[in-house]
Order: sequence, then C-alpha cells, then structure tokens
Amino acid sequence: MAEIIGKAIPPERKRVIDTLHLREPDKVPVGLWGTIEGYQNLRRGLGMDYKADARDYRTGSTSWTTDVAFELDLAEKLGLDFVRISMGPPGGSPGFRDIRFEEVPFDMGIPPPDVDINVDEWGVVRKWTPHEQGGYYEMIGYPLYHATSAPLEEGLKILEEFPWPDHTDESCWNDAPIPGMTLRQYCKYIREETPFAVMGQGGRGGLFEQAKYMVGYAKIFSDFIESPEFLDAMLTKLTDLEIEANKAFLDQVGEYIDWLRMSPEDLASEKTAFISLKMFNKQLKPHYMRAIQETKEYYLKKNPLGRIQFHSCGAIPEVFMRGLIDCGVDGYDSLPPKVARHSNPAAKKRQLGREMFFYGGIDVQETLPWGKPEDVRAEVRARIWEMGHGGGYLLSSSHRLEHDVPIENTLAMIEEAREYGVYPLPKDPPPGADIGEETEEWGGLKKD
Amino acid sequence: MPLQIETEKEFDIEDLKHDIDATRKTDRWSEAPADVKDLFHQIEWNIIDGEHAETPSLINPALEKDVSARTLIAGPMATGIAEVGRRFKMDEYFLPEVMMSAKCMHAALAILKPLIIAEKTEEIGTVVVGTVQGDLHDIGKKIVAMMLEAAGFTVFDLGVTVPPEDFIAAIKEHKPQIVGFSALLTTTMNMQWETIKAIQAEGLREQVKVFVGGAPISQGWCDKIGADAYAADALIAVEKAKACVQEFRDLKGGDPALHAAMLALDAERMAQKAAVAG
Repeated sequence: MAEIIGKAIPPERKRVIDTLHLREPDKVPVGLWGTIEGYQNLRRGLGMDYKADARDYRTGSTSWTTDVAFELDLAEKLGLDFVRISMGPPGGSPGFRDIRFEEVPFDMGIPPPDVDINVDEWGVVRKWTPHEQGGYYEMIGYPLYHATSAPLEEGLKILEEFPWPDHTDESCWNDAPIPGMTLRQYCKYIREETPFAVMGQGGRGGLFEQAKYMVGYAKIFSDFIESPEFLDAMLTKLTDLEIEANKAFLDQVGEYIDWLRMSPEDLASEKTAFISLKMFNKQLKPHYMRAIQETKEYYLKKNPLGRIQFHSCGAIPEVFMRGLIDCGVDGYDSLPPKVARHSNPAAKKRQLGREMFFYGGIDVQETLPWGKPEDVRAEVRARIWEMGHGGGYLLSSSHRLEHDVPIENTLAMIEEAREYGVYPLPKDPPPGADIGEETEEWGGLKKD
Repeated sequence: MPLQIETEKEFDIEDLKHDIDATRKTDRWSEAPADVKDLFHQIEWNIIDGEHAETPSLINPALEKDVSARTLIAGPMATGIAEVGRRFKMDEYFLPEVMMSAKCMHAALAILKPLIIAEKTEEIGTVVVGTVQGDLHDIGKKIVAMMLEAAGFTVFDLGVTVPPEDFIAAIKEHKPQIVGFSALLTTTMNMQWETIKAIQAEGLREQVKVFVGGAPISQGWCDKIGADAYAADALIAVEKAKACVQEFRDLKGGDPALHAAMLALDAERMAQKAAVAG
C-alpha cells in the first residue's frame, strides 16, 4: 500500500488503474494478447528479433496453450499501457511436451493417430493440428470420460484418486519472459523499471471450462441432467484447485499485479448461453461464487486496489453477467462484437457499464484479419465511443491476435486508439457507432 | 477475403410463435385410431422432454399396433424434434436439453433403422450424403439416408464435418448419381457452396446431381449456390431423388432443366395439397 501511495505512478499505469476503477483516465488504455504465431508475425513485421520455433516461447499456465506473454521491448515499441503475465505450467516452460500414444496413462478408446500427441498436466490428450502457419492442439482424449459414465460411487472414487496437477510446484514460478528471472522478480522489475500496468492471468484450467476438458464436450452437457452429483463433485474439486492455484500465484506476484483475470470460462456459444439460467444459477454459480470470493479476499490483502476480471467467449446474456457481478467480478472480457444479439458491446456497456469494466472489443473474426486498416480504424472509433464514456474500457482485440491478422491492422488499431481515445471523448458518435438506448430483452429470462 | 454471402434473413421469432400456435390448435393425429393417437402424442412429448430411457417403451408398442417405421419418423418424431429446434432457437432450450432429445431420436432410430432397411426392394441408384465441414449435426442427415435406403438407393453416409475433398473422393469411388449436403448452421451453410465449387473445379459437377438440406437452407439458397435440388424434409428428398434417377436420369448435374424439373415437383405437391385442402 505504501508503495502505491508513496511513488509517482507512471501515466500508463495510472490510466489503467483509473479505468479499472471506472474513472475517466487521460486516454483509453491499450494492450495486446495473441497466439505465438501472431506474436512472431508482429515481431517480424516490426523488424524485431523473434524465436523461429514456436516451442521455444514461454507459454501460459497450461502446457497446451499457444498463448504467449508479450515481451516488454514490444510493449515499449508499440507504446502499450499494460502487459499480461501468468504462471508457467507445472514442470516449467516451455510447456509443450509430446509423448507417444502408448504412454497415455488411460484408455482413450481411439486408434493411435498419426500425429504428435500432447498430454497436459490434467491428463487431457491433444493432437497437434497444423494450419497454414504453425498450428494448435486439439483435444482427442478426456481423462474423466469414463468416470462420468460410471455408477456414481465408482465415479466419485475415480475423482478422489485422480492425480490432479500440483499448482504449488515451484517450477511454475522459476521462469519469466526475461531469462534468468523468476516470475516475482520479473513483476517487480516491471513495477520498478517500466511504466506498464500488469494483468495477472490466474488459475490453471478453471471450473466449467476444465470440466469440459475432463469429460469432453459431448458428455458435459448431458451431465447437467444425467450426472448432476458427479458434475457437482468434479466442479467442487476444480474450484478447490482454482483457489489453490490463485493463492499460490498471488503469493508470488499479488502485490505487483494491477488486476487478476480468473481462468477463462466459456459460458456461451456464438448464439446464446450454453445452459439455461436456471442451470447456471443452480449448478455453476455457487462454484463461481466460492472461487471468486476466496480469490478476491486473498488478493485484496496483497493489493487493496486489485480488481477481478472474468472471461467468457460467445454471446453471453446480460442476466448471466449480473450473476457474475454477484459473485464478485469487477470486469469482463472478451466482447466479440459480431457474433449474436446478446453480445453487442455497446448494449453491454449500457446495461452494466456502471458496475463493471470491459476489456477487448475489436473484432478478430472479420475486421482484424480480413478488413483494411481503415475498417479497423472505424471500428476502433465506434468502440471507444460506445465503451469509453465514464471510463471502464481497456481496448484490445476481442480475442487472441492470430497468425492471420496483418501487422498493418494491428498497428492501425493501436494508432487510432491513441488518436481518438483521448478524454474527454467526443460527444457526437462517429459513423457506425451503436447509439441505441433500448436494452435487449432476452427470451430465456421468461422461462426460468 | 472470406466469402461474402448474404445468408437468409434472421430467424423471425414472431413468425415462429404464430406457426406453433397454429399447429397447437390443430389435432395433428386426428385421423389415427384412438390408441395410436395417444402413443403419437407420447412419442412426441418423450422427444421434447428428452426422456430417452423410455423411448423404446413407446416406439415398440407403436410398431406392435402396425404403425410403420416411416410413419413414426415422418409423424410424431419429426414434430417432436421440430419443437425442440424451435425451443432451442427461442432460448427456451439449451444444449443439455437438446442433447437429451437427440438421445431420444438416436434410441428410436436404432429400433426403426432395420425395419426401414428391410423395406428396400429394388436397386434404383446410388447416393452419397454427408454433413458439410465444420458442422456436427447428424440426425436429420441420418434420417434422409435411411429413407433413401428404404426407397431402394445404395447410400454412402460420409458422416459429419465432411471436408470437400472427402466428398470428391467418394464421388470418384462410388460414382453416385446424387450427392447430398446437410448443414444446420448459418455459419456452416457456406460450406455447401464451397463444396459445390470444389466438385466443379474437379470437373465432376455434371456427373452428380447436388441436393442440399438443413434447417437454415431454403430454395433461395439452393438457387443461389447452383445446387440442383432443395429438400425441405426426408420425404421430399426421396421423391426428388427418385425422379432424378428415373424420369430425369438423362439430365446432367447443374443443368437448368433439371433445376426447373425439381421446382416443378414442388409446385405439383403444393397444388395437390391445395386440392386436398379444398
């Protein structure tokens, strides 16, 4: 606390903190996130050195992710306001570790595929799926698939005996994007030697999200109806683990991160929520409540100004977000602007802008990969006008920047945000901005 | 740049409400004998409620009462799953509920499939069907495949999320007269177009008559992407497929005359309906 009050806060970090606390800053803060390939392209395009092999990059907290921590030289070159950090996977980075099919520790019930297999720290099996540049890991084997189909007693026993990942493993902390530093040293360095604010990506896997990976997408949804006891027991265990991971993470870096993003939890498809409000309230919300409350309490002891951000992809209806606010969520990402009627960022701001901050919003499904720089600029102006009034908007892509986003578009996004995103924001809307005042009615509410 | 395709207009919820109210007012099974009528209602609601463990206990008695498999599929099963689709579109049902209903359909089809296949009499042609790449919907395409098989076709079902090259390989291998693409999402229907283009590029377009179907698919979409026929349901698909291999066997895939002939079949059907309605 003394540190926060005693030292002059650099403008970059100050504008982020103002934004997180729903005050109008001097400018709309800007940050980036991306896949390793998107990051490599960006560095190459900017004439910066980069590692040619994706597997040489330090990844996020799970061993399969293609997320990458953007290094400080890039943040400096692009004039960003904040960077992300996360713990490494157990066993340390780089996380990618391929194994032979025969080594997979459980029966996947599938024939051996002819590609590399990766088993993450949870026992989820993925195969390497290449695309035009690089690739990603796609799930093919689910370690608790059999447990959820078994009789309850047996399923609970499997849960009990399951070799869960060790979130307190030291190797999660002993490396950072700057070689030779521990994660804590790296965060301290950012705080003391750079102007950037820091978002800490907490957790590893999450609750509902990791549950999907443990039993598979096809099974998880029928489990809500057919195996509710098993599902509840699994979510209870995953909540324990999420809290344990967050506490271990906060012990390392809690005082140095300006806000904490919980493990990403996809709650919605491109059309609407995955499950009904009734099921959400009864079967998921109590777990979110516990995970978020306990994490937040612990975090605020380390950093009284800390904020909690929650992620879901897709078109999540307002009423679900209100439920998340009940659980203690302060901010939300990402805001995919082009998916469906529930995900219009402007409507979200009108509905919830007094209660939470927002992160993201610049479309990665069409505009950034396929638009021209002027399309990107127009969208940036519209989004800033829609989301920025009153503060509470951190501008970024609506999901990871991938390999298909041309560098001109990324640069246009940052440049336009810098030019247009100066407070006080213009009163009159730019072309294309959503100026509607009606909030949408969600059909599902009537039924639950 | 991605394909810029104008998709059909967004689902109109008001229209749907109207449709379903209208159907609720009519007694769908009014002409069926009373004992069967009850069963039909139960089957329909079994699917809507997703009680899949009980599905066989309703399907089997219906068969014992000499209701044909075809009638069950085209009747209470079709109306039941259509209502599930409507509820899903209107945010009344979500993935868990839909999964349960899908399990009912699979349970029922497991019983009915052998019966439908047993009806097969003559060999009239070959069809390749599949759900296009990126789309995992299975049930509707399975029903169409089953009905075609019963009507005398040899059917090669390539499954779900079938890439264009697999369709092409199957056309080369099985030499079907007809290939059918299913798509159930506005985001995947474009793959029907992509697949047609791939077939065209391979020089195979004239060899096969292309059928399209699925919830977001319409005659307008069929016209736009240059498919030969659109089938609104499995029965129409069978009728058109038969016409393709019999009456219009000499017309090539992509021939405007074939397209017109398929449209004429729809017009005929409409006229018959109007005549019956009086």
